[in-house]
Amino acid sequence: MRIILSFVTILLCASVTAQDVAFKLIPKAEIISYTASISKASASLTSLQCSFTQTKNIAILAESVVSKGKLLYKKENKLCWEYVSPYYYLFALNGDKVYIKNDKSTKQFDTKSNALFKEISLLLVNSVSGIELIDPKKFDVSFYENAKMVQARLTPKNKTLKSMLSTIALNFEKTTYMVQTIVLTEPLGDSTTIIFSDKKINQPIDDEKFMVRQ
Amino acid sequence: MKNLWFVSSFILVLISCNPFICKNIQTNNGANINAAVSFSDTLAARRYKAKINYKTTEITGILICKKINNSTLAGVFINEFGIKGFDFTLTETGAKMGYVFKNLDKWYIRKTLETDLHFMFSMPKVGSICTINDTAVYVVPVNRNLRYVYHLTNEKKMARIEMWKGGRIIATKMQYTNELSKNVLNMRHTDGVLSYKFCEINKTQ
Repeated sequence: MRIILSFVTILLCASVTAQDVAFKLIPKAEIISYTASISKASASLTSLQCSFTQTKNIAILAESVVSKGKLLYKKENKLCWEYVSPYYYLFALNGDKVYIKNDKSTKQFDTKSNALFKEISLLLVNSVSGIELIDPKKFDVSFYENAKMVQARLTPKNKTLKSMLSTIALNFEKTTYMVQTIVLTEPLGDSTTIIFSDKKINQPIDDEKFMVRQ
Repeated sequence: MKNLWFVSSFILVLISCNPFICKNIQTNNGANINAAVSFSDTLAARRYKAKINYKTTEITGILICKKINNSTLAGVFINEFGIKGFDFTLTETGAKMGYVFKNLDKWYIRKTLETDLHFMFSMPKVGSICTINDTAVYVVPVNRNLRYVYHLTNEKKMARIEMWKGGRIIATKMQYTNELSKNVLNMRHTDGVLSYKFCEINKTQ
């Protein structure tokens, strides 16, 4: 659960600029100071509100699918991932409960009894803060930087995750050490880029926002 | 035990060999059915809000289809988070699954998807015109045992399409344009276990 929360936190903290500016490898001796900064930022994050743009590039069709929406996160385990385009879809996590709402219905699941939703929830939450994802036991981790950003490139060690994702790249802004962009690259060449914008950090969010009703 | 197995198999074969009966067969003059969804006229991708129901399980996401050459259509299904469920290619003769998400990657799921996706998205040439229960229909033989049967309105527009295996209807498909002038494809297996609904969406909506 902590991992999911961190993943979501990381995702929430993102809002991209100039991500293609060349990154250079950070020497191992310097990595510790960057991870300390990321940990500190993650620990200080109590809530996040932002917009996001998710772009899925599909290699086989040379097409992309762009989805947009809003994200709410409140420590420890409250998350609302709301798509408004191309159609309405909401994924909300509130403690052990997962809610999925579309334009016609709302469904509720328990993460304790549903392993899939537990995994999804963990991944989303952890993406918000990032630090829980940077786990050398689960990933081969390398760090890169340019003038504005630090990039953590994670290569999964777990077989199941490896079959789905070849790398996860988390771009942290150097000014805040919050996640700005996430790039998920799949083995067959597809990728998903999530960019966070209009971030409001540590502003109060009413718990009601995470209560999804029919 | 051996005899029992033989008798059961024989009965099953007899049942499955229930013949397809269509009377007053006339060879089609070459006209194609005016399908509501046609990929032959465009290289642009079509995007659908997709819903697949299997028993009590519902899978939602986006299906994108695109003609990649004169005879082949390719399609990809992703969920809302961008995770790919499956991809496929489709020609006049059949569909072929490529990638299938690990949890779904079983031979029988691949086979079912291949059959259903071809039924959903192919626009085969009409083989013959005949009558079933006194109704004129267009028949497209897909293979030795599988046929698509097109029921048309008086205006020659598609009313309903059936997938016949031997002498049984195993699935039906409806194609129509909704109130937003978007194409909708609705397919349902007659046993009620599996159904698909694809509603076309804009690139940015």
